[in-house]
Amino acid sequence: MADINDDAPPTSFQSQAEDNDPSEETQDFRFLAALTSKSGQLPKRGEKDFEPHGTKHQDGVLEASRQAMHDALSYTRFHNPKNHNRGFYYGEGSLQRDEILGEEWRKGLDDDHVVVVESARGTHFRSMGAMNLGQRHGALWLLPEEALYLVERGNLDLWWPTRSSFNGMIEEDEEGVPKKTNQDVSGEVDEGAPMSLQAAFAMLLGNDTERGKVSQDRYTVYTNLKRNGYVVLRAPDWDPTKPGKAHSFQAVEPLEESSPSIFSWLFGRLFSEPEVDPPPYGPLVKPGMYRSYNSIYRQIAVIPRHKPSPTPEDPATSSPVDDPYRVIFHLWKPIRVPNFTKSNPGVPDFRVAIVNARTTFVPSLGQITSLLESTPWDPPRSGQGIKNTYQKLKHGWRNVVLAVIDQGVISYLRLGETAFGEEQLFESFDQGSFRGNKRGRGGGRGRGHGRGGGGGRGRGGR
Amino acid sequence: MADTAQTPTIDLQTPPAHAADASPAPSTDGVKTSPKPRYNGPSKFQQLNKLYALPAPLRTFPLPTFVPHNPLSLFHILYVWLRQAVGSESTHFDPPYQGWYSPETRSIHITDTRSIRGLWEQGFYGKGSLSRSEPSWMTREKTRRGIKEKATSEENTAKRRLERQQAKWERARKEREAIDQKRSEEAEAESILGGEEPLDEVSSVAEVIQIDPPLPNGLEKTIGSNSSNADLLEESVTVVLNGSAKPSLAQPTKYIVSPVGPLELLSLPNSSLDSGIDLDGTNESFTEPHISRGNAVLESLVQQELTPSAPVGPLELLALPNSVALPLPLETIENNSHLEIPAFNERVVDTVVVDQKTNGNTSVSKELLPNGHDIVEESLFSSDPETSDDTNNGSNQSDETVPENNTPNGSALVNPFKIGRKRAKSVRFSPTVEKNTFLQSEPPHPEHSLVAITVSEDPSLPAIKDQEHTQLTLEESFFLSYALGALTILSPTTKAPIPTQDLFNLFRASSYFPPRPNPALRPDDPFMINYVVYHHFRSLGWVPRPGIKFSCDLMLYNRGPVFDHAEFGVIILPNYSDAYWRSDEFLRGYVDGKERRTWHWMNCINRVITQVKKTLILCYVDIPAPLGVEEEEALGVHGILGRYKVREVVMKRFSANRMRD
Amino acid sequence: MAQSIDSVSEPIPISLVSGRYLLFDINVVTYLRRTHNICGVLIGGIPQAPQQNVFLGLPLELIPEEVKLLVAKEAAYIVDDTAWHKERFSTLQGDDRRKYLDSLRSEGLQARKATDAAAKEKTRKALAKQAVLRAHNKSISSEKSIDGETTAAPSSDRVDRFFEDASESGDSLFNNERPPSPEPSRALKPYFITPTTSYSPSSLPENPLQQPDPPVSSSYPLFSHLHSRGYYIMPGLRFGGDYNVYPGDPLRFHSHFIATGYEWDQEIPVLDLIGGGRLGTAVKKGFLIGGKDKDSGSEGDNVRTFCIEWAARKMNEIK
Repeated sequence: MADINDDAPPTSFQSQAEDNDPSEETQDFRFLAALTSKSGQLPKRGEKDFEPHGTKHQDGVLEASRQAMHDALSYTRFHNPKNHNRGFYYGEGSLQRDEILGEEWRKGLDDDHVVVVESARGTHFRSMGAMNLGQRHGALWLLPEEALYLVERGNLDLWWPTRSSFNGMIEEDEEGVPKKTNQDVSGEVDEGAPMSLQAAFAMLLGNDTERGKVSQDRYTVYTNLKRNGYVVLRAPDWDPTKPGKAHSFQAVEPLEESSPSIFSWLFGRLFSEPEVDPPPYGPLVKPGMYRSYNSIYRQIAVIPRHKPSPTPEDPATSSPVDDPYRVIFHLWKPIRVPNFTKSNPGVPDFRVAIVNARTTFVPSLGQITSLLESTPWDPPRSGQGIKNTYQKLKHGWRNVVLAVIDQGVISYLRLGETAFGEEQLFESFDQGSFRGNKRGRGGGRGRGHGRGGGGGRGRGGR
Repeated sequence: MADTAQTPTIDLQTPPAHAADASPAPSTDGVKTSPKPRYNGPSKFQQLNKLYALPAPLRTFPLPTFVPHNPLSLFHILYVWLRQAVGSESTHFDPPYQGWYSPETRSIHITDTRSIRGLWEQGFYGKGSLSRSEPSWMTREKTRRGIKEKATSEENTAKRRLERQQAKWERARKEREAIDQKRSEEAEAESILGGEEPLDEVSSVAEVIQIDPPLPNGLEKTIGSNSSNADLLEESVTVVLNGSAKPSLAQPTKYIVSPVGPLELLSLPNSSLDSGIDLDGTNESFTEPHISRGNAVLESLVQQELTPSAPVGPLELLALPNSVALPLPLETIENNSHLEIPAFNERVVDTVVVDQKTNGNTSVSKELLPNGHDIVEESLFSSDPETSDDTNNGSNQSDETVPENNTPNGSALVNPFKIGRKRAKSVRFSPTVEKNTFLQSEPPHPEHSLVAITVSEDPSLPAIKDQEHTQLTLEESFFLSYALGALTILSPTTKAPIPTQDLFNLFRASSYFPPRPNPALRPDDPFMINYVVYHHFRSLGWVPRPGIKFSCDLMLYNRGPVFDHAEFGVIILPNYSDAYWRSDEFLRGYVDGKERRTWHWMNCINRVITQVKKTLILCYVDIPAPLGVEEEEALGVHGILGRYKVREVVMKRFSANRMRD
Repeated sequence: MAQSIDSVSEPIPISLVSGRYLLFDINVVTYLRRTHNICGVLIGGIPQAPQQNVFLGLPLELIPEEVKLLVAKEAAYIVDDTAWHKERFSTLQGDDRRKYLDSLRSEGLQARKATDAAAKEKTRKALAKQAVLRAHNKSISSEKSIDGETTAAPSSDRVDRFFEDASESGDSLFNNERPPSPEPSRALKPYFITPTTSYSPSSLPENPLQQPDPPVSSSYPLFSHLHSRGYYIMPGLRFGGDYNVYPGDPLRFHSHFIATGYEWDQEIPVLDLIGGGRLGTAVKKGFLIGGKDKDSGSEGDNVRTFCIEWAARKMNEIK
C-alpha cells in the first residue's frame, strides 16, 4: 500500500497556473514517464501542433504518442503477496451480503457496503470502509466507490465469491494467517474467481438508488478527488431538523452611523422629517438639501436586500428526493490525511454536490438556496477597505463545491451565498477619499481615513 | 438651457465639485475645463479625486467636523449652517440634466455638453456613442488633427495591438517556413532514396474559407431579447462563414491546410479590411452594429439605394458601416439655424440617415421614419454633421465618397478659421428634406447652435463640432430620473419632459422586441428585471455598467471605471418561485423556458469572466405574481420594486489541484 | 495484453453500464482512434501513477454521439455488461473456471519473474552505488541513489518496462506499496492478477438484435457533420461548448473550435454569441455554431456551420 503521505501528487502540478490546468487537455502519453520521475515537468501548452501539415516528422511524433498511450494503458494490475488485499463482492447478482452475514454482524454497515476485504493492509483503509460491529471478528467492508477505486488503482484483488470463500475469510481472520490464498491447483478450494476491472465496473456502477451501486457521475468525481489526494467520504444524511437551511428577506435595516459628529447629528436632527412614503412616481430623493450621501442613499433603498443569517427565519423548502442539488461528498484536504481517523473525521473542508451537465440546468433560486442552507454557516472575515469588501463578497456566508460533469469531464465550481446588501459602498462616499483633494490626501482610495464630511442624517427643510 | 447659454466656455458645465467648500465663488471650477489631468501639479489620483469628487449627480452639504478641543470649530459649524440656511442650497442641480428618448436605439441620448460631462463625472453614467465608455471622441479627434499632443488610451491600445498583430504575423510566417523546410527536406530524402513519390506540392494557402453570399439564416434569427443593450455593444462580432470549404481530414496522409491556420486567418475577410479602410479615429462607430442587425442594416441600405452594389457577403457587411459612415464626420456639413443656405445634397442626407441607423440599434423600418418633428427645430438639429475638414490629414477619404457639388457656404460666419480653407465645405440641409430624413435617433436640440458658437469662440481651438453624444441605457436613465430626480427625459415628438409614470410604462414596453403595447406588461418585463438589479447595486453605491463586452449583464465598479477595474460581472437569472407561476401548464412551460440555462452556457460565461480576472455573480431576481394596472398604480414604483427579491450567489472555478493545502 | 491491435475486428462490443458506454480493451481503444477518429474520454486511473489526473487510463467512456455513430456504421454494438457479467460468473464452473484461473496464473508468474529480475538488478546497482558513495560521503541521501537508477533501469519486455516504471516512480514519488523483495523467494509463486477486460477475442459477447438507441444530445447532427469531415471531437463542457473540435488526434493537436449545436430555428441570445466568440478567441479557438436545416431537401446532411470570432482587436487595428 502506498504510504498515505504520498497521496500528494507530484509538485509539478501545483505550480501550474489555473489557466493552464494540464488535466484540461489530452496529454501526450510520451510524457508520462516525465511526470512520474522526480523532477518531472509536463510540457507547457503549445508543444502540440496547430494542425496536421503532412510532414513525416509530424506523423512520426503522432505515431509515437499513440504507441506510448497504448503501452501505458496495456498495463496489467498484479498483486504482490506481500500486500495482497483480496476482497469479495456481495452485491447484486452475487451472493447477498445479508444472507451470509447475520443481522448482529451487520451493525455499523451501510446497505451499500457490499465488498468485504479479507485482510485490509495499507493506509488507504484509514479513510475508507467501515468495520462491521457487534461481533468479535469485525471485517472491513467497502462502499462500491471505494472498492472500485482500489481495484482501479491496483490495490484490491476483487473476487466473485462462493459460499466457501466467505467462510474461508472468517477462518483466516481468526488465525491471522492467509492460509488459503496460495492454494495449489490440486488441493483447490473453490473460492470463486477474480473479477476483471471490467467486471468490477459492470457490477459496482449503477443508479445511486440501487443498493450497492454508485452512479458513474458520483464515481468519476470520487476518483478524481481521491487522485488529487483528498479524503472523500459520503455526506451523512441531511438532517432537516438542524438549523441553517432557510433564507430570509428582511426589510432594509436603518443604517448605522459608526461615529457621526455629534453636532452634525444634532443639526441634522433639527431639520429631519418623519419618514414618509416617496411619491408613487418619484423621485425617491426628494428635492431639498441633504447633508450626507448616507441620507440620500437611504431614500433609494426600496428593494429588499438579503440578510445572511446562521438561522434563517424563512427556511428554504428542503430539496425533493430527486433534486440533484444536494451535498453528496465531504472533503478533507490532503494535508489532513496524516491525522485523519474515520471515527473522528472533524469538520470537512469542502462539501460537494454533483450534477450532470446534460440532464440538469443551472440551479433555480430554490435549489441553490436549499443546497447552500444545508451547509454550515461560514461567514467571511471582517475587515475595512475595498479589498476586504471584495474578499468578503467572494467568500460569502455559506459555500459549497459543485462538480458539473459532462461525459467524464468534470468542472468544479465554488458557489457562495453572498450578500451585497451587507457591503454598503456608499458609506464611504461621505468619507475622505471623495474629498481627498481638499485635504491633501489625493492618493487615498476610500480607506476610511479622514471622515471629512459629517454624517448628518436628516435632510434640509425645503 | 439658459444655464448653458450663459456659461462662457464649453467645458465649464460641471457644477461645483465639492459642496463642502460651499464657497459662493465658483471660480475654482476653472480647473475643470479639461477632463484630462494637467501636466504638473497634483498627482493623478488627486486629479481624479477632484474631477470625480461627486459619487452621484447630487450635492451634499455636510457640516464641518467638530473638534472638541477647538471651540472655534463650533463657530465654523454655525457659520456654515447659517450660510446654507440663508443661501437656499439644494442637493439637486438646477436645472436637472436632460436627455432625449430615442425609440430606435431604445436608449436616452444626451446631447448637451453640460449633461454629458456631468453624468459621466458624477457617477459614470452613459457611454459615448463614438467611444468605448467615456465620451472622448473630441479629445481623440483633436489628437488626430495634431492639436493635442497627448494620445488617448484608445490610441495607445490600438498602437499596442497593432504591434502585437505584426509580431503574430511574423511568427506565423516563420512557422510556415519551418514546415515547408521540413517538407522539402523529407521530399529530398525520399527522392534520394528513390522510394515513394514526393509529397504533393502545396501552396501555403491551400484553401481559404469560402464566403457564402447571403447572411446565414441561422443568424437572421438571432435578434435576441438583449438588444436593449445592443447599442452599448462595444466590440462587434465578426461572422466568418465556413461553408463548403471545410477540409476533409479523412485521409491522414494527405496534406491539408485547414482554414484556420494563422496565415489563412490573416487572409480572411477581416484582414482585407485592414489595408482598405482607414477608420480615421471614428472606428468606434463601426463597432456599434449588432450582429443580429446585420441584415436589417443591409436592408435599409438597399432601400435607400445608397450603395452602388448590394453588399451581400460578410466582407461587404463588415465594410459597410465604416465606409459609408466614415466620410461624414470628416465632411463639413454645416447646419446652423441662422444661416439658411438651401444647397442640399440628397446623397449626403441619405448617408446621414444610414449612419444614424448603423449607430443606432435595431433596424429602423421605413414606417418609423416620418414623424411629427417641427420643421424649424429640425433645421436646428444636427449632432453628426458639423465638422470642418480643415486639417490636411492624408488619410482622409472623404473626397471619394462625398460628391463635389457641395456648396461652400458661409460657415466662415460662424468660424473664422475656416475662411480661405481649400477644403472647407459644408452642406446645408433644407428644412423640408430634414423633416423626412432626420429622425428620432438624433433628436433635435435647441441648444445646439449655442454650443457650436461657444466652441468657435475659444481662440485656442479650431472649431471642431463634437459629433459625439452620450447614450444612457433605459435602466440608467430611469434610475437618474425616478430615483435621484437628476435627469429630465424629453420626448422626441413633443419636446416636452416625459412624466415618470409614462416613462415607466414606456421603458417596460420598449424592452421587448418588437415593443409591446402597455397593457401586456408583465412583472418579468426585461426592463423590470434589469432595473431591479441595476437599482439594487446602484443603491448600494456600486457603479454598474453594461457588461455585454464580457457577455454578462452588468459589470460592477467600485467608485468608477477610471479608478479601478470592475471586480464583478453580474449575470441576471430570473426566478419564479411564486406559486402563481406554477399554477397552470402554460405558465410552467413558460417559466421553465425562462429559468433553464445550460451548464455549457454557464461555463462559457464563467470562463470569459475568469479570463479577465473578475468574479462572476449570479444575481437571482425573484419575480412576483402579476398585478393589475390599478394595483400597480396604487403601489407606486417603489411599491412595485419592493415586491422583487434579489439574491446573489458568487461563482468561482474551484481548482481541485490548488485547493489542496 | 498479448493481443495486438490487429486482433480487433468489427463490430466491436461496447459495454453499457449504468447508462454509460465504456471500453476496457486498449486494443479497441487504439483501433477506434486510428480507424474511426473516435477518442472518447479516459475516466480510469493508471496504477503506474495513481495520484494524478493528468494521465488517465481505462476504462474509456464514449459519449452517446460516438456510440450512435459507430453503431450506425455497423462498426460496433452495445452489450448490457452488467447482465453479461452476472451470467458469466454464475456459469463460471469446472473447466471454464480452471482455464480462466490458469491463464491468470501464468500471467501472474510472468509478472513475478519480471519483478524479481528487475529487483535483482536494482539491488545490485544500489549496492554498488552505495559502496561508491560510502567511500565519498557517509551521509548520502537514499533518495539520490534511487534517482540515479531511474534512468539506468534496463527493460526489454513491455510489461516488464511498465512494472519497472511503476516501481521506480512509486519509490521516488509515491512510496510504492510493492517494493521489490530483497530476497527472491525460493519457489516462484505467481502474482495475483486483475485482468483489465473480461472479453477475449475468441469469445466476444453476442450481438443482441435489439439495441437501445444511445440518448444523443440535440447537437448530434453537428457532431456527425464535423466527424464526417475528419475532425476529432471531445466533450466541450469545460470550454463552455458542446464539443471541442480538433483538426487531428488530440494527443498531438490543439483544438480549433469550441462547437455548440443549435436547432435550425432556435433563437440564439446575442449575449451567448458574444460570450462564445470572446471565449473562443481568448483561447485561440473559433466559436463554432451549427445546426441542421430540417426543411432543406438537398443532398447531404444539410448541416451548416458558422464560426464566430471576437473582433474587438481587429477593429482597433484597422485604425
